[in-house]
Amino acid sequence: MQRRLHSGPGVAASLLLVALAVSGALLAVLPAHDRAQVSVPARGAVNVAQLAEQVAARYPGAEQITRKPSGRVVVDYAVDGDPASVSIDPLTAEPLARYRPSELATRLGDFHRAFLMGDAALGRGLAGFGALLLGWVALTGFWVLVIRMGGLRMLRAPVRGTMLQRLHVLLSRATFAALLLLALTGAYMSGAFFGLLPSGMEAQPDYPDALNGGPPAPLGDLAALQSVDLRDLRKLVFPFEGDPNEPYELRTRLGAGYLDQASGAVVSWLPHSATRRVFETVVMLHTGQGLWWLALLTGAAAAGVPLLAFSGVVLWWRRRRARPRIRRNVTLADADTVILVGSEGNSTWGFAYSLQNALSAAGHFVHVAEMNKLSAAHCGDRHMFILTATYGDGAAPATARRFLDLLPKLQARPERGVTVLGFGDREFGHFCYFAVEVEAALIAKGWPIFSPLETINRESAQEFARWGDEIAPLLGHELRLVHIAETPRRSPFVLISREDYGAEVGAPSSIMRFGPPTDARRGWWQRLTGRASLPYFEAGDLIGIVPPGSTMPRYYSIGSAIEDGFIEFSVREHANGVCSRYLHGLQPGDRISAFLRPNPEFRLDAGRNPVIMVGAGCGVGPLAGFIRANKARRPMRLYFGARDPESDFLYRREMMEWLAEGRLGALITAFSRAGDRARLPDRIRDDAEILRRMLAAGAQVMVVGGREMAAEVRAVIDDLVAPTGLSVVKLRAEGRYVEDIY
Amino acid sequence: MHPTSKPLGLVTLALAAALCAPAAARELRLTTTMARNFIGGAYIVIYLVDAEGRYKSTLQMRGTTPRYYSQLRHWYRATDVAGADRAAEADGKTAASVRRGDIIELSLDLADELFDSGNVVRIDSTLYEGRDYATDVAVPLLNGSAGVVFDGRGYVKSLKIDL
Repeated sequence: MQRRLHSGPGVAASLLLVALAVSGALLAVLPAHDRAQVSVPARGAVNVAQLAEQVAARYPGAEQITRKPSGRVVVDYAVDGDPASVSIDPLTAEPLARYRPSELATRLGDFHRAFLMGDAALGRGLAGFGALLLGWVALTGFWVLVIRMGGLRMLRAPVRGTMLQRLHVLLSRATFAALLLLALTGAYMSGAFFGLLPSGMEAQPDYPDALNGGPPAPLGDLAALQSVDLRDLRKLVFPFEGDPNEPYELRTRLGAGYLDQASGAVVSWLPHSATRRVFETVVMLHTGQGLWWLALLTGAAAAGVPLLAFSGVVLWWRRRRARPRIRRNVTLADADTVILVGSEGNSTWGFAYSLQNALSAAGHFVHVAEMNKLSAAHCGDRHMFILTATYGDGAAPATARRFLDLLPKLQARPERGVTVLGFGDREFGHFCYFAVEVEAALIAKGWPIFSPLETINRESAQEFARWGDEIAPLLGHELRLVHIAETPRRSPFVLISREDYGAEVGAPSSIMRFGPPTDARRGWWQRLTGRASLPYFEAGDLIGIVPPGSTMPRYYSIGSAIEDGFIEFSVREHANGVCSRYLHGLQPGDRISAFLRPNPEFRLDAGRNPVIMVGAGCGVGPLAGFIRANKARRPMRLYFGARDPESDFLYRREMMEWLAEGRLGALITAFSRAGDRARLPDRIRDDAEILRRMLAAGAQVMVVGGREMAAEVRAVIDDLVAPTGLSVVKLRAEGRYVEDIY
Repeated sequence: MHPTSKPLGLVTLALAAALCAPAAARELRLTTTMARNFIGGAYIVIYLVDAEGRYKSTLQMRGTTPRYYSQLRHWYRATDVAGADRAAEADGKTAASVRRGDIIELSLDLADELFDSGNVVRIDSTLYEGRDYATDVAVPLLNGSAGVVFDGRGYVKSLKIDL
C-alpha cells in the first residue's frame, strides 16, 4: 500500500516532475556561470558612495545601479533618450560589457516558474503543485525504502535487486535530501505567490513628505551611502531626470528607503522584516542565486529526476504486467464456479485460464482469483477448483501463502464440492507436496470433494487434458482443455566450447560456454560499452532452455557475467534428464534457443566482507563466476566437493590460477572416491573455528547444490555458529546465507 | 455614450463622484503598443496625473501580483498619498501582464474637465527581474494630442490617444 502511495502520484505526474526538474537543472548552472564572470571585491573594499560617484561621473544619464545576487553590478542609463544597460567593474566603474539578460535563461525561467504562461494562475499553480508532488514522492519514497531495507539503521546497507531496482534506489538515496529541499522551498515560493504564505515582500518604505530641496550634495560625501558596503547593495535609484525635489532610493540587504539629495540624510527607511529575510533565504536556497555551489549540488540532484522517473515508471509497469491479469473475470456474485490459483512463477495461471475458457464455453460463469483471497464470498452454491504449484521444498507458492491460515476461520464452504489439482515436477522430491497439504486440510474441514486430488507433472498439457476428460462427467458436460504454454521470448545462442569431466567416475559433467551467433548485430549501446550482443546478465542469473520435445524450460545457473562476453554454465548429464541429455549432445557450433532470467536473490553482498562458498560437482558453476569476477580480491573461501580429482575436478586449472592471482583465498576440496574419501560437511566441520571467525567478521555464505547436500550443510553450519548466538535462519534474514538449490 | 467595458464604466462613475460635479463625459481611446525588447510578462500601469504630477486616477493595471507593484515606481510613489488605498485604486481595472509586441486597447469615458487642463496620461513599466522604467511614456491630455503617436523609452513602444 505504501508503495502505491509513492508510485501512484509519481507515475501520474512523472512528465510534470521531469519538466520541472530538467528546466531547474539547466537553470542551476547559471549562478555559477554568472559568478565566474564577475569579480567581487572583498568586504570593506568599496562602499556605495564611492561607486555612485564614479558612476555618476562616467554615465551622465544614469538611472539605476543594480547589484545582482551573483555580484554583478549593472548600470541602467540613457544616452540621448535611448536606454542602455552596462555591466561595470565595481572598483573603477569601467564598462565591461553591455548587459542583457540571456534570452535562454529568461525563457527557461519562464518555463520553470509557470510553463511559459507568464503569471497566469494555471501555469504558476502547476509549478507549485509539481513542487508539492515532488516533496510527497520524495517522502513516500523514503518511507518505502525504510520498509524495504528493514529499518532506518539498514538504510545505508547494500541494495539487492535487478539492475533497474538498484539504480532507482541508489539514485534516490543520493538525491533525496536535495530534492526534498527543492520541493519544500519551491512550494513555499509558490504559496507566497498565491498569497497563502507570507513573503514580506509587499512592505515598502513610505515616500518622504517633504524634502530639503537644496542643491544636491556630491555623492561621494553622502554619509548614508558611505556606510553601505558594496556587498550589501541591491539597488540605488537616481532621482528622475535629475529633479532636485526627488530623493535617492536605496535598497540594501538590510532594508529599503529614501535619501535626501541635499543633506544626504535618510528621510525614510524600512528595514526588512524577519518574514522577508526568511523568504529571501528560501528563494536563495531554491535558486542558488548567490550560492552558486548549492545550485550546482541541487541542480545535479534535479538532473537525476528523469532517470528516477524513467526507472520508476518501468518498474511500475513491470510490476503491473506481472500481476495476474484476470481476464474476462465474472464478478463473484454472478459466478457459479470459482477457480483459486496458487502460483509462484505465473505458469499455473495459464492453466487456470485454459480451464476458465473451457468452463465458460460450456456455459458456466467463472471467477478466477488468488488462493490468498479465500473468503466466505468464494463459497456458497458453487463448484470450486483449486490449482496450485509447490514452491521449493514443499512450501506454499507466493499467491497461496495465507490459504492454510484463512481456511480454518471460514464457516462457509462450496456446496457443490471442491477439487484440487497440483502442479509439480517428479524430478524434485515431495512431488506436489503443497497440493497434498491443501487437500488434507480441506478434508479435515469437512468440505465436499467432488473429485480426488490429481497431479500434473512438468506442466504437461496432455495430462491436463486427460484430467479435464475425467471430471467432465461429474460436471455433466464435455470439458475440452486445450493448454498452450507461454514461454518468454527466446534468443539464439551458439555453443563456443565445452569441457567434459567426470565421465570415468559416472558423473558426466560439462562446462559449456555459449555466445551470440556470429551473424548477430550489435546494438549501438553494446558497441559503445564494448560488450557482446547478449542481454544483460550477472553471475548467479539463470538461463532457461526448452529442449526439443518439451514445453517446460529448465534452468541452469550462469557462472559468467556480460563483461566476459559468453554465458558459461555447468551441466550434469542425467539418464532421464531430457534437457541435460540434449545439452550433452551438442557440439561446438550448434545453436540453442534460450532466454535469461535474473536471479537477484543469489548475489554477493556489495562490499569487502569475506565469502564462504560451498558447492559440489556442477554446483560450483555460478561460484566460479563470482570468483572470476573478484577483481577487488575480497577473501573467498571455497569448499568444493566431487568424486575424483583426476576426473571431475571442474575448473581445476582455473582455480589454481585464481588462487595464484588472489581471486580465490582458500580452496578446500573433498573427494568422495579418492584420497581420504572425505565429504564436504566434514571438511566444513573441521574448519569450525576459522568459519566462526569469518562469520563474526560479517562473512556471507553461498551454497549451491542438491537438496540433501544443502540440508546437510545447513545443519553443519547451524551447529557451528550456535555458540556465537547466530543461526542459519538469522543469517538468511540478513541476506548472509543464500542458497541455489537444484 | 456607453462604455465598452463594465469595470471602466465604474471608473467613470467613481471619477464623476470624486469630482462632485455632474459633468459631460467624453470618450477616450488609448492604444498602447509594447516593444519587443523583453521576454516574459511585463507589468504596466496606465494612470492619470495632473500638471504637477499629483496622482489623479489609475486607468488600467496590467499585472496581477501586488508584489511587483512597487517596481512601477512613479505610480507607486504617486499613489502613496495619505488615505489612498492602492488595492482599491487598481481594483476592477487589473488584467494579465503583457507580452512583447502586445497591443493594448483601452476605451473609457472621462469627464470633460479632465481634458485640456494639463493632465497627463502616464505609463510605468517593469519586468520581474529586469529593469524598470518609471514614466515609460507620458502623453498630455489635450485635443492636440489626438491621433499623435508618442514613443516610449522602455518596454512601451508607443502610446496613441484618440478622442
